[in-house]
Amino acid sequence: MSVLLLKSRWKINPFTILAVVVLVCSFMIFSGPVCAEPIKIGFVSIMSGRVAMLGEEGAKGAQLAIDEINAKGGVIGRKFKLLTRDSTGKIEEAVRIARDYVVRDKVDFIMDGSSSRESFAVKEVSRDLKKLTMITASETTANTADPKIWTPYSFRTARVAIHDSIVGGFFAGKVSREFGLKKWYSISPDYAYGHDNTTLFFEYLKKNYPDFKIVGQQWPKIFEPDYTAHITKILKDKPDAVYSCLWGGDITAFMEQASLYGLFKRMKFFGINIADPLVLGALKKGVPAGMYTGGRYNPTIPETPANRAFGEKFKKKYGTYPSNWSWQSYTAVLFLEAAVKKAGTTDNEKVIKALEGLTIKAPCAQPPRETVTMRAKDHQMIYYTIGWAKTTSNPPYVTDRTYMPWNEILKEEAAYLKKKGWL
Amino acid sequence: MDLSSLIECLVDPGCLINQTTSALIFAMLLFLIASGLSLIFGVLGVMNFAHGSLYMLGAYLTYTFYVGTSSFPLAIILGCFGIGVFGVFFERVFLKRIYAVHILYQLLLTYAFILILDDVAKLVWGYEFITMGAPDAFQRPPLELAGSFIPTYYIFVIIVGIIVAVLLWMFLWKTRYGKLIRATAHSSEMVMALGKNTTLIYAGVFGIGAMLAGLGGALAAPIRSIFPGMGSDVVVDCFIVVVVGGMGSIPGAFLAAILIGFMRAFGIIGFPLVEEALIFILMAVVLIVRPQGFFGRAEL
Repeated sequence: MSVLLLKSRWKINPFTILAVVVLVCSFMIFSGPVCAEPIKIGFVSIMSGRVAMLGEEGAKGAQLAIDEINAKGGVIGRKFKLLTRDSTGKIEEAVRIARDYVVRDKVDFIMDGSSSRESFAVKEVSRDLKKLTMITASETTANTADPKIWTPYSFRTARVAIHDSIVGGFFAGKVSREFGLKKWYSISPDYAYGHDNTTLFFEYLKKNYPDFKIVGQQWPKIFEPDYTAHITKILKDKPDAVYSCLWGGDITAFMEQASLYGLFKRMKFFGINIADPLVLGALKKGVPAGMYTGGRYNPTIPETPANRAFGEKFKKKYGTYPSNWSWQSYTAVLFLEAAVKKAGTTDNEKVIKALEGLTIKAPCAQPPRETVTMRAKDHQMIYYTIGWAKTTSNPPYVTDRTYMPWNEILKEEAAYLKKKGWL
Repeated sequence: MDLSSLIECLVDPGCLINQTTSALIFAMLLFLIASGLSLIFGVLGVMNFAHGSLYMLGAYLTYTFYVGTSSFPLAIILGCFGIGVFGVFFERVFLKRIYAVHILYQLLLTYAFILILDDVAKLVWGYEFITMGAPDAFQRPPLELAGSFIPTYYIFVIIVGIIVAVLLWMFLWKTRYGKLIRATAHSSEMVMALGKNTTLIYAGVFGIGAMLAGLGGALAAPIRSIFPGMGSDVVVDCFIVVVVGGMGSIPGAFLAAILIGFMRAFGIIGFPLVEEALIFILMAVVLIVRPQGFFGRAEL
């Protein structure tokens, strides 16, 4: 009977059916599943073991951006959906996951929140399968700068080692002039990142303050639990200042042990990776005041309403402030949204065209700008905030923020790339 | 190589005291963990790869109890006994099943527990690293002695390490239980034939070994980063101590730990780029010259 009725109605008025379809469809959009396929982003990173925070924090940032965009109704009528998988830090596993995302899950984009080791391999997958990949954690300069390994399918929204070194040298030069810091020391982890970062830091310090000498350098292995012997050696050599790119649990262990020796009262300390909520939050007995730190992420670096709002939103959702990896993956999703909107499609070739040179509003922009730009020639984000500051014991734990104007950073970067033969 | 600054340090009392304390603090923590490993191997004949994970759990438990009770001595005791109890449970439920089977199964089981316990730590305490910080009683400027600095907490750790070493030695060599344990290590069938309960001895020894690892973790918690996987590096150092000192030998472990502590502390001055390698070189030399280690029995 009802079938007959439906049949007769269909004959009478096809618009009824159409109306029902539209109604059901909009109901489904409202309640979760969508009629239009979601835009799938496959996130690959390390989510277990001792650097699990890399992947966990990155996924949180991306998910926050996705939730915000979906709450507004998505982009081109489609919502974003994040898939996450754990590479456990193995290169071959990261490659397999990236391939699976493309071949089996048919994702629209890959997001690579891996460390540099896996990132270089995932990049080859994106080249091979022609799949747009956002790099959100690897900081190695070559990843976007070296033309020999460059691919049109990779874009990076992470900070870059060379930028950090340029700004670090600029800032340390300023402080050195103020206090006459002649004798320098370094303690950095004994692998590629530690050596490259420290060498470049001193190279740029030399440009800004030629009048110093390195009196000692130490290279503890990564995840070293005990720095006592290193600390007593530094105390013996009595430098004016120490530079360190130890990170994560290593810098907190070092700070705890060095505090017991009163090291920070005897010399200036420059740690590029201290101002991050993961580090500062881990110090249960308080943050030593008067150290100089690079700003990985801090709700007041930059001191802008947009950044403050981003930090608070994140904290409301997850209970802690975002880390460096969170804002980088958050920004990657913002770039994808803007590019898909501009291209009107998720067709990778068209989105790539749209991304090149794209400028978007983002919380991480360095004042006075409010926007960051995806540089067309190498697919590296620029104009993001690279701040240095002095630590204080109370939240937000930093004061005296200093930024280097981006036009000067870019000038130094160009000189570096030319020297490397990459330009 | 920088031999001139090594000599310079050896004749300068400030530098000498500094590096010596830093050697001792590293050695004491290493000894506490490695002695448990050595004891377990000596008596049970089991290579406990998950020993570093017990150290990690000890650090986590101590941190949790410290936050809960805000008493550091209580946190150490609870943390260390908690791991002891867990050790007995672990031996009774899992380890006892593999005594009779091939050694590869020991590797498989204990290695699996490294992964399992790391993930348990991640689920319970989160993936972030934690820095507990030295208790308030030790939050004071370091002692200054002839131009050297000695943090008060380190003095505490060194004293505890030496006390435990002496107690352990007295327990094993001067008490009836100690004799039973040594007898079991020598020939468990004979001990069993004499009507002694070897099951109890096995569980007890594993419990004590676990407790020592837990104590190492408890004392390390205030000064080292606590995170899932923190045991993996430590267990490598421990195996070196056990191999160099002689498998199953507590005095050997003590001597080897101190030797490694000094090699690190003075290696950093004399051979700044290869100080990590020195320890492995030491192991290689010992294995070539005296394969059973300092105090190991030759048949092992």
